[in-house]
Amino acid sequence: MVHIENLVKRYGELLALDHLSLDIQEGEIFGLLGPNGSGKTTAINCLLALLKYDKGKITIFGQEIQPDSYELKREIGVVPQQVAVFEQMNVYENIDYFCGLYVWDKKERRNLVEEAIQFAGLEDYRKMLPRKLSGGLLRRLNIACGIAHKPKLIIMDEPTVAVDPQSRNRILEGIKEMNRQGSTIIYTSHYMEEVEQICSRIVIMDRGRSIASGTAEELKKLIRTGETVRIEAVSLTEEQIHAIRELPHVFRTDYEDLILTVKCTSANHNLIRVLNYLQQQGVSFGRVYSELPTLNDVFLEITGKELRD
Amino acid sequence: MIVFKGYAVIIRRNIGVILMYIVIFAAIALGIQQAYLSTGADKGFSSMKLKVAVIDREGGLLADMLRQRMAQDQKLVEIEDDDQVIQEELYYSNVEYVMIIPEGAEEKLRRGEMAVQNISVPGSIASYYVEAQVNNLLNQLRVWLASGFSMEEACQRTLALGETQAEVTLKDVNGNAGIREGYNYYFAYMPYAFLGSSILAVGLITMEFKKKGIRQRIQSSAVPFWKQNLAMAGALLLIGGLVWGICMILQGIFYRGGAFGSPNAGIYLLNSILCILTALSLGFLTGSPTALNGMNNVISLGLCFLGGVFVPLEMLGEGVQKAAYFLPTYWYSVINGLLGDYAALSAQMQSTIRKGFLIQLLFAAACFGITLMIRKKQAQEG
Repeated sequence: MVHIENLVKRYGELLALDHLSLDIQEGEIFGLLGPNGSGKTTAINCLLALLKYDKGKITIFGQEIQPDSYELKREIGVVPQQVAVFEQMNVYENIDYFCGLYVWDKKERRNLVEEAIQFAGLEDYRKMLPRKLSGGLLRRLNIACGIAHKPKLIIMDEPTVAVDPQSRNRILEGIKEMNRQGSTIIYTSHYMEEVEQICSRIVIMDRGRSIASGTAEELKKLIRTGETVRIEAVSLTEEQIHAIRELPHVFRTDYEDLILTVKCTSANHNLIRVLNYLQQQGVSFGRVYSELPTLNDVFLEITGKELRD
Repeated sequence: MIVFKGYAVIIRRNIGVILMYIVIFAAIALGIQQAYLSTGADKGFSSMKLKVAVIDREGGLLADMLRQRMAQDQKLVEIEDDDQVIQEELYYSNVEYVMIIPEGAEEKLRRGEMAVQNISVPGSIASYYVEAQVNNLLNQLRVWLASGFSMEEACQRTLALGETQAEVTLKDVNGNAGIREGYNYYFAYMPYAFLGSSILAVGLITMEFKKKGIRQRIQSSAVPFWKQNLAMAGALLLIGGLVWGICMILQGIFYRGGAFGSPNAGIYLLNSILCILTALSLGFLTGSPTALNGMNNVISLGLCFLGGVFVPLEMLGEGVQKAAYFLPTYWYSVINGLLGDYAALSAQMQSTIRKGFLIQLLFAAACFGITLMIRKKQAQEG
């Protein structure tokens, strides 16, 4: 459905997109994951023909997108990163306005606007001005404005930034619902949990490049970490830490602020082996956690830095 | 249509503020014009009387004649014949010109010498007129005396000459019977009302559309770029129509028909339409959400001062006038000045007016062009 090939975009000396290639299939919720400044928004802006790029090719529904590809744009919905609504129009007028940029027929638009209001749960706020809405409601309005015309492809650029957990869950559920109704969704975020929760396929970006792609499970299999064990332990010596590192399947240990972090490859009984060793050594320990690998681990192992850096 | 509808909704929401801007600026223009008219500066000619004191130290016929003659044209005031008193009266402006007829004045006059003395406020223009009048009287007397008339006869004849009133009529070179119409002064200040209210109103309306997120949403939509620009132009014309319409209605009310009744109504209206177009184009170019008021003041006041709206063009320096030549307000003022001075326009004047129209139009087109270029560049840069 969307094909990006060798996309290069420079801002002066800065290489914002470095030969980025993506393939997005119909019906997917496609996640673009990366830290701030990794090129996600630049890629989206190129995809929407808002930005001229230096090299590469973008096709949507088999056609190359240009600034004047208005028929193509009719099938695309955009939810920008910042809330982009008119402060002086109420909820209904805002949705009607942005829907009207795609649907000229008034009667059809009226129905679509009503559906969008219901979808976003804004029925009780239709006459309210945006400044009177809470942050979560405002984000929902932002989404409603982008999807009211029922596009086949929806591009959402970090739609949950600065949103409370309750509203975030509602938004994520809404995205899944839109996908069930047939929309293909491109979702950018630097929140790995969100991407993992809703995306059927993910591309991890860093410095304008795609550094890994696949489903969440496929991505996790790319790395050595199969389990991360964290233990509150008191007074570990260098020798003890070294000994833990020598245990089977352990490939990395860190001890900082009385927290022992042990990275293990995927295997059984990793936690038991570490705890047994600590008991043998008579080391006092408190809370114990065992975590499966996250996308942050994937990013950390591939780039050597945290996703939230 | 939907993009225009967006502008229309925002105009509707802000109509109160927009009307307030228009009324405030139009009222300022009207106020300045009324203040100007109240000074009488619009009248081409008016007579005035100065406070003149005549101190007679001789007590002869000459002193009587001069006193009577002064009383015909000036306002005579009585003051004490004391140097200190004279100085004080002049200092407090109780008197503007003091004429002293010394002893032996008649003899001096016969000999052709300076017969009278005068004291006035140094540098006072009005006192020069009195002095000239006195010299004129004394010369007339000398002529009569030289012709063989006695002092008494000479004084009577000189007084009789003063009773003859010259009728002053202004030559109707402009077809307005020499009078500049009140509405012409109102039109002279109109660029300030146009610029002030247009820049603020356009800024207020376009502020929302200049937000990056909204701009991107519109640009990534199915509405062609030219339609977006068309909608924007429509919205500007709507605001312009409001500003222009209200200012025209006001002048129609205040001046009982005003420019609508002028033989050059078409030129007045076209000149003001071009002026509002310029104001709108500047408003759109500068309608930045931040520092809107500051920019408005700099642009509207700057253009009005340099363009001769507040200060007559003749009073501006040569360099300023040359620079102002490229400003639309300058040409607006030139055209308005011609319309004020002449009802019947010569071919040369018509040519100047056409040139002024063209420059205003080009200026507005250039501003719109720059705005569109900026919009396109912004669209390409995302």
